[in-house]
Amino acid sequence: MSFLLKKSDQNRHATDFLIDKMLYAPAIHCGYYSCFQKIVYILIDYYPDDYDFIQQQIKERRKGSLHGSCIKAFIGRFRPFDRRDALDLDTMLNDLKGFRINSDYNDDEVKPADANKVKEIVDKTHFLIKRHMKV
Amino acid sequence: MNIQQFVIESFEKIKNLFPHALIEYQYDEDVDTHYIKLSPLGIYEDDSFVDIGWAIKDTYNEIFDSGDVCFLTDKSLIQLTAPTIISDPETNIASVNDIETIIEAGELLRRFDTLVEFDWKESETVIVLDSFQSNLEVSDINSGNDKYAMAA
Repeated sequence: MSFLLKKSDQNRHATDFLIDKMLYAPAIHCGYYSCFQKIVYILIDYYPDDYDFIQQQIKERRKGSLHGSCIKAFIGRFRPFDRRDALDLDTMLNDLKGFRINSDYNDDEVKPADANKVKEIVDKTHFLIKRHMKV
Repeated sequence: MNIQQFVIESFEKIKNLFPHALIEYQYDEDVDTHYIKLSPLGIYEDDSFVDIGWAIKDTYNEIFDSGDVCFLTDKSLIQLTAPTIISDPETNIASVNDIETIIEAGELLRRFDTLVEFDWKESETVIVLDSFQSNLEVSDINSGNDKYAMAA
């Protein structure tokens, strides 16, 4: 198993563990990275040209973010499988990306309900990727 | 096309199919994301929204080379704290909450084919849509009159 895929799996387990321990902000951090690491793994292993292009663009233009660009490229590859699921995945991942940054850096409380929503998003993200891409 | 034009056109695409949608827009610079919130939840979940959603995202990606558009609902993690453009079907009022957006969006709001009238308040500006007017009028900001009228 790829180390990146293993880290994604570990972060997913950590999300459940941290929610159980009522450590909500760290749970959100791990939940996001569980999804992001799986996306990066798929790009590197299945669509390496896409990943190289992203890195090259960021280096040359110094514009855009690695995370945003990876999510966009991944969704582009996912979309032919199922347009509805792709839109849901895009919506969930961008929602989670923004919320993770707020959770990590803003002086805001993270509530149990937020952590439970994150768990739903993480589970659905992994489910949809498995369902269509078999990863 | 600038971002305000893009947002107004996106609102129109949604309202063409879902005239009763409450649509709110807010940009988050920290994550370079343009959030478009749709209410009620059924609009996002409707099968017809899939094509509109992708059309909006594809247009964004064709025009802008960074950032992204993210659709939100009441179920989302991110909740808008200060939307800058709102289209509310219940009151037939569209609010634009910053003056630069008003100026830049003003021309495009003509496409709603409506009177655009905004009451200047301390914290926000409200644009009232009225489909019976056809001329542009903007009252003098220094006249002491706190009401602006702009008909499209």
